[in-house]
Amino acid sequence: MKRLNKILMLFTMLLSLAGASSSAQDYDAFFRGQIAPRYMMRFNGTYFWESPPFSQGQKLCYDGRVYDNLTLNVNAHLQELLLIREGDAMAMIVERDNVEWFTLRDTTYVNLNAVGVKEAPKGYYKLLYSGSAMLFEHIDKVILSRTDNCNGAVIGYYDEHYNPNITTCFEKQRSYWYYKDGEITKLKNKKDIKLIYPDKKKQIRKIVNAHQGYGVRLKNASYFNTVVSGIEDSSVQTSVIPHYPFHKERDITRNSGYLETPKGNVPEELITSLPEGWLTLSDDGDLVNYVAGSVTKAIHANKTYELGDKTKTGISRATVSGTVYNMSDDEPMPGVTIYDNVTGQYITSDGNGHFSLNLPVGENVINFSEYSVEDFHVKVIVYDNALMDVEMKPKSELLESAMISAESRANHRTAKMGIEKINISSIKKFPTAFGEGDVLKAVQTFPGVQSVGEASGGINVRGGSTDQNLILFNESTIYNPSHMFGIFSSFNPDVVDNVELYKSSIPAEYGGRISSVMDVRSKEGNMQKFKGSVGIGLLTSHAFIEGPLKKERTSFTLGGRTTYSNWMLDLLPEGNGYSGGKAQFNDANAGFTHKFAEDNTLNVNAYWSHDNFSFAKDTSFHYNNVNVTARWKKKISDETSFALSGGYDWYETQVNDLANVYDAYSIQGVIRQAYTKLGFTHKLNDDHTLSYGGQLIGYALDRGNMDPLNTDEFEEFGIKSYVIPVSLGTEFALEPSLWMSDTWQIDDKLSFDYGTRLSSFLATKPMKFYALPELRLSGKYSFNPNLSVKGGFNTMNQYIHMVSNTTTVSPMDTWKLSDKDIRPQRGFQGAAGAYWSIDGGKIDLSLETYYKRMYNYLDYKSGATLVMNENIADALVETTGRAYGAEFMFKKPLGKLNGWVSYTYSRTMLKEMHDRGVSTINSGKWYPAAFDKPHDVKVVGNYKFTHRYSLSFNLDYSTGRPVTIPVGRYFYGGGYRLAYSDRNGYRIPDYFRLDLALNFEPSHYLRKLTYFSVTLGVYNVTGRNNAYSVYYTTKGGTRLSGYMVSVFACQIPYLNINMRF
Amino acid sequence: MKRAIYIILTAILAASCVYSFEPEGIVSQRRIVIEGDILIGGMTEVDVRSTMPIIYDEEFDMSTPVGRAWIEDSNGLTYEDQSAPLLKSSFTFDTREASADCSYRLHFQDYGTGNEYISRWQSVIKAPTVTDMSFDYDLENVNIRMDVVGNDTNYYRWDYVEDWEYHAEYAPTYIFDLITFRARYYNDGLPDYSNYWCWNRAISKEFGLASTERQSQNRLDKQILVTDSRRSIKYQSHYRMDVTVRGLDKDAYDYLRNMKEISNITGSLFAPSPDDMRGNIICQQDSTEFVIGYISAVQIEKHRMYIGMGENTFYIAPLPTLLYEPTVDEKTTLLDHYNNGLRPVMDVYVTDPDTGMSSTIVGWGPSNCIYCQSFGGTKKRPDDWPTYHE
Repeated sequence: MKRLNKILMLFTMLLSLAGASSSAQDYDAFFRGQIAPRYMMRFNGTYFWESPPFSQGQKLCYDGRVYDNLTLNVNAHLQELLLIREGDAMAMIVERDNVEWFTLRDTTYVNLNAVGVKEAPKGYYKLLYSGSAMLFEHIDKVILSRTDNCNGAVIGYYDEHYNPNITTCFEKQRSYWYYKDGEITKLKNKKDIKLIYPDKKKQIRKIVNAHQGYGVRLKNASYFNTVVSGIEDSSVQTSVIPHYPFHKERDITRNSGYLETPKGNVPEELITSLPEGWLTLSDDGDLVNYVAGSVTKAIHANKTYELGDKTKTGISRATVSGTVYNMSDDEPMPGVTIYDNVTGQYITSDGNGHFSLNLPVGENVINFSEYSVEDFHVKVIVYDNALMDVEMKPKSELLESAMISAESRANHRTAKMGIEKINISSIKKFPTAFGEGDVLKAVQTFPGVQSVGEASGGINVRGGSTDQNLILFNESTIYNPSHMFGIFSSFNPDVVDNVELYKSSIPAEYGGRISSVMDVRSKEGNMQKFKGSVGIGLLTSHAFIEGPLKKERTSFTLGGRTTYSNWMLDLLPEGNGYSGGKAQFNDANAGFTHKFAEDNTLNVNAYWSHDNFSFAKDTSFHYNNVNVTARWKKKISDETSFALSGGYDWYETQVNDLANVYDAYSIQGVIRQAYTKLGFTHKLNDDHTLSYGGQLIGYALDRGNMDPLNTDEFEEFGIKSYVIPVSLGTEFALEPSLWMSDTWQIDDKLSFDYGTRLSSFLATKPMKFYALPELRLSGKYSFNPNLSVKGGFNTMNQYIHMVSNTTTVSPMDTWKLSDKDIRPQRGFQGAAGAYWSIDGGKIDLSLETYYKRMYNYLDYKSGATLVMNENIADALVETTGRAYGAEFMFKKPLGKLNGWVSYTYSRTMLKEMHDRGVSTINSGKWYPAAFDKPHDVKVVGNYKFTHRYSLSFNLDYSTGRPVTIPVGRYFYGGGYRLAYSDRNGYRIPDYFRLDLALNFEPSHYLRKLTYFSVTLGVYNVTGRNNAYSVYYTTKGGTRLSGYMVSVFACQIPYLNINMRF
Repeated sequence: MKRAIYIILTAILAASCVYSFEPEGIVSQRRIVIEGDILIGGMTEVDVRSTMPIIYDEEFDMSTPVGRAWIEDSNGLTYEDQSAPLLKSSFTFDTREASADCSYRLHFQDYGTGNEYISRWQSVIKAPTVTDMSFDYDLENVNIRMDVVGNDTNYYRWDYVEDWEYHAEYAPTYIFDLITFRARYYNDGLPDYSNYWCWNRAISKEFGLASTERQSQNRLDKQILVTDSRRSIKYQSHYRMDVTVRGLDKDAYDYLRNMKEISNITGSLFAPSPDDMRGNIICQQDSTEFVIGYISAVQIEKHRMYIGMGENTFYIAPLPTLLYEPTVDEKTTLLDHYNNGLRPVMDVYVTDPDTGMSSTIVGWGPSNCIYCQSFGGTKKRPDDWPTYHE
C-alpha cells in the first residue's frame, strides 16, 4: 500500500510538473495507423458519443503525457477515440490502451481500463463528478433496426435530417458508474444510490428535495450527480484533469522513460518518497536528471522516444543498448530479432536479453520480433549514447502454442541456417506419452531430427549418431539426456527457458561434436517477486520456485522432479511381470543470478539427477549427472562485451549384476569434465561483428571399474563373488581451442558469417596430440525481403566417443577418448537452402538440403565385447559415413490454427574404412546406419478455440529404421540357431503416430494469485503398434518365433495438472 | 483408489507389448554349417548341414551338403571317416589315439559344389575337472549344479544328458475284460506293474558357457546346469545327469557366446544389435563365403550324478487322481467309459453319507493315471540304470 501511494504521488506530481504541454503537432506519438471505419450502410442518428462535429482545441493524456489543441471525437459504437490531424481530412483511431483521459467540449472523459480500473467494461467514461468519490456516465451506441420513429430519445438527440424510411439507427444507451475506494459500481436506477449510502437516506432525500420542486424532477445524470456531490465533500467538477485515485501500477524502478523529464524545483515530498539515487538535483534543488543512468523504457510502439543528451553535438553515430523484457513476467528475453530500418543492422538479443545497436544520430525505427510476443516497432530519435530497455507484449492469440521462433525475419536476415529455436511454453504444449513437457520430444518434431524409437534416449540430427550431438545445459555437457530409458528427458520443463538446436551453421564458439549442438538454457530467477509452479502427472511430479534474494539484484531458482513409478510398480500383484522391476529418477536444479550492474551479470547453475532402474531382480542400472557452472557476462564498452564461464560435469554409470553370486559384479564408468571458456563479442562497425575467444576442457574418464558384488544375504553363508576387481584406468586429456568469427552484413541483401576454430586435443598415457582447424562459413542473399537463399559449409572434430552396440543411449555404453589408436572423428557438412515468406510472413516455406561426410566414426566388430574391454580399439572399426537429405517445411506461425508441416528425405550410410578381409562389415560395402530413416513427415499444430481451450496435435510418420534380421536357421549345439543378414540389411515396419491434447486454462487472468492449467491428452490416438524392434528367438531350442516389440502399443491417455503462482 | 491405480498401471504397462511378427520380403540365405569339435581321446563326430529358410520357401535349396571330410594334424597325419557310404554329411573319426601335443584342423569337401572348407589350426585344449555335482532347491525350483576347476583356459562349454525313472500314479489291480465288457481282477488282485515304471531322457538343447576370465580363481563353483520345477516328474523317483565339460579358447568362446545371444535375443531396449560372427572355417575357393561353425580341438571331462529315491524329498507330487464308479444305465455302458479313456484301477472303499454304511466299489480313473508312458518316455530301461523295475 505504501508503494501504491508512492506511485500515485509520483504520478500526480510529475504530471503537474510536466505541465501538460506537449505539442499537438507531435501526432506520431499516438498514431496507430488505423483509419476510423466508415459504416457501409444508411442509418439514422450517429455513432459519435454526442453529435458528429469534432471538437477542436481538446486535450489528450496519452501514455502519461498530455497533448493539447487536438481535434477529437468519440465513436461510442466502437468505443474508440478519433483524432483528425491538422491538414488531414480523415480521422484516425487513437490507441485506446494508451489513452488515459481527454477532454471533449469542456468535459473530461476517462479510459478507466487504462488508469487501472480493470473491472470496468472497456471504453470511455464521461466524468460527471470528481471528489472523494467519482461518478461517470458511459454511452454505448448500438445498431438497431426499428420501424418506429427513432428520432429523439432513441438516437439520443433530435436530428433534423432524420429519414423515416431508413430503419437502421444507432441507439444511445447510457449507464452510470460510481467509483470509490477502489471499487466500481454500476448504478442502474435511482434507488441504487441509496444502496451505496445506506445510512444516509435522509440526507439523500434532503438533497434531492432541495433540487426538485413541484414539476421539476431530476433526471438520472443530474440525480446521481446531485446526490453524490451533496454527500461527498466538494462541488461538481467536470472539466478538470482527474486526480487519479486509481490503483494504476507502474514500475517506477526501471521505468524512467515513461515520463517527460520534469523541470523546475522538485518538491521535498517527492524527493523523500523516491528511492535513493532516483533523482539527480542541482545545488539549488533543480532537477538535473531524474533517473540515475537514464534508462529509457520503450513500451509503446507508436511513441517516439528521444534517446541521449539532446545537447550533445558533433557526433554522427551513437550506441543504443539495453535489455528486452517480456511484459508478462518481466523476464529478459534472449533470441529477440532486432532490426534497424535505417542502417539495415540485424542482431539478436543475447542469453540475458541484452542488445546493442550502433545507430546514426537522428530518427531511426527499430524493430523487435520474437515468436511469443507481438512485433514491436519503435521510433527513436538518437542524440547520444543511450540505454533503452524494451518491454514486449505477449501475443494475444495462442502464440505460446506450438510454434518455433525461427520466424521468417530471421530466415531472411541472417546468414545462419539450420537453426531451430523453441521455448518452454511451446514445449509444454506438445503431446507426449505421459503428458509432461519434454525438450527432446519437442526437438524431434523438427525436420532433420530423429530418434531410433519411442522410448529411446538421445537424438539423431541429420544423420549423426547420438554421441555426435553436443548437448549443453547452461554450458554444462549432458552425456545422457534422458530419464527412465528415454521416456522422459533430463530437462525439467519448469526450469528450462529456451532451447536452440544448431543443425548446420554451428557457431565457431561451439565444438567437440561433429553433428549438432543443442543449447538448453534455464530461466533466470525473477528479480521482482516470488513465483513458482507445481505439477502432477501420471508418473512424475515437479515443483519450481523462483524469486528475488535482493530485488533487482539477486535472484534464485529451485526446481525438482521425482517419479513415483517405483512404489506404484511395487503395488502391482506378484506375477504381473513388472512387479520385480524398478524405475525411478529424481533431478534437481538450482540457479543463482546476481546483477552487479545492468550489463554485468553472474549466473551460477547446478543440476543433479539420479536414475535407477532394473528389468529383472538381479540386474540393475544406475546413472547420475552432476553439473555445476558459473557464467559472468559483462559489457566492457558499447562495442565490446565478454562472457567468462567455467564448470564441472560429472556423469557416472553403474550396472550391478547378481545373476550368479559367485560371478556377481558391479561395473562403473565415470566421465569428469572441467572447463573454462572466455568469449568476446566486439562490434567493429555496422557491417562487422567479431566473436572470438578460447576454451579449455579437461577430461578424466574412468573407462570402467569392475568390482565383486557381495550381498549381506550371501556373505552370511560365506559365499563371495570370485570376481577380481579390474580397472581399465583413467584417461586424462585436454581439449584447448580458440575461435574467431565475423558476421559481415554487406547490405540488406548480402551477408556472411564466417570463422574458424582451432581445435586441438592432447591425450596422455601415451601422449598424443591432435590439432585440427575447423572452418565455418555461411552466406545469404535476399532477392527481396521475403525470398532468400543461403549456403553454408562447416567442418567439425570430435574427441570423445560413445561405443555401443545398442540402438539407444544406455548406462552400458562405453565412453572413450581419442588416443593414439582411436583417432578423432572428423566431419564436414555443406548445406543450401531457400526461404520464402508469403502472405506478409504469415506463411513460411523453406527448403534446406545438406550433404555431410564423417570420418573415423566408430562402429563395432561383429560379436565384439564392448563392456570392460581392455583393448577396446581391437573391438572397434573406423567407418566413413555419408549423409544427405532435403528438408521441406511449411510453417504457419500465426493465427488460431498454427503449426507446421515438414517432410524430410534423408539417407545415412556407413562403410568400414579398412579392409579386414572376410570380417569387414558387410564386405566393405556401404550399409545404412541404425538411424537411417529416409522418409519423415511431421505435422505439428495447435488450434485455439478460445483463450481457455486449445487443441494440440502431432503427427509423425517415418520409414522404419534398419535392423539386422535372420535370413536362415540351422541346428547347432543341441538347438536351433539363427543366421543373420548383413548389418542393417532390413527395416522394421514404418512408424506412424498421432497425438492429441486438449489444453484448458481455467484461470486465464495473469492477475490472479494462482494460475491453473490442465492438459488432457491421448498419445498414439490410433493405437498403432509401432515397432521399436523386431527379433526372432529359438525359445526352447527348437521353436523359432518372430516378435515385434512395441513400446506404446495402444492409446495412452494422460492428465496433467499444473499450477503456477 | 488402489484399484484405480491398478487399472491405470496395468493399462500403461500393458501398452508395452510384444507381438508375433512375420516380416515380409525376407530373402533367406543358404549357408554351410559345420558342427563338431575334434575330440582328442575320443570319437570325433562332425555334422555338415545347411541353413534352412526362415519362412518356408519352395525355391530355397534345402539339400544337405554331402562330401568327404577328414582331420589333419600338425604332423601331417590325417584321420578319415571309415564308414560307408561315400556321400554323407555326418562323419565319425577315431581320434582316441590322437596326440594332445599336436594341432588339428578339419577339411570338408562339398561334392555338390566342389568347394573345400578348412578350419584354422587349433591346438588341443585340456579338459577341466568337474570336482562335484550337487543339487539344491527352494520353494519352487530345483537347481542342478557342478563345480569345475579349470586347467589351461578360462573359458568353458558344457552339455548334459538327463535320464530319469518315474512311474504312473497307480499300478492297477483290475483290467477291463473286452470279452465280458466288465472289470476284473488282474492276476488275482495283484498290481499290474507292466505300465507303471518308465524312463525318459533329455539332451541339453542349449550348451552352457562360462568364463572365469575376470575371477580370482579359475573355477566354477556351484555353476547352475539346470533349473527346473520341483513338480517336474523328472524328480519323482530317480534322476541322473551326465555332464560333459570342455575348455575353449577365447575366440571359440566369443563365437559360441555370440551364437547363443543372437539366437535368443529379447529385442528389449538395451538389447545389442544382433550380428553374426565369422567362425574359424573358410572356403578355399571363395573366402567371402559365410561358413557357420567353429571347430575346436579339445579333451572332454564327463561327470555323472544321481539323485536317488531317498533324496528326492523335494519332489512335489500332484494331488492324487480321484477314483470313482462310473455310472451305468440304459444309455451308457462300461464299454462306453472304457472307450472314453477310463480304466478300472482298484478297489475303493466308500461310505454312504446318509446311512454311514461302508462298501467297496471298483474305482475307475483316467487312463493316464495307470500308463507311465502317457508322460512320454519309454519302457526301455537304460542298460546302466542303477535300479531295477519291471
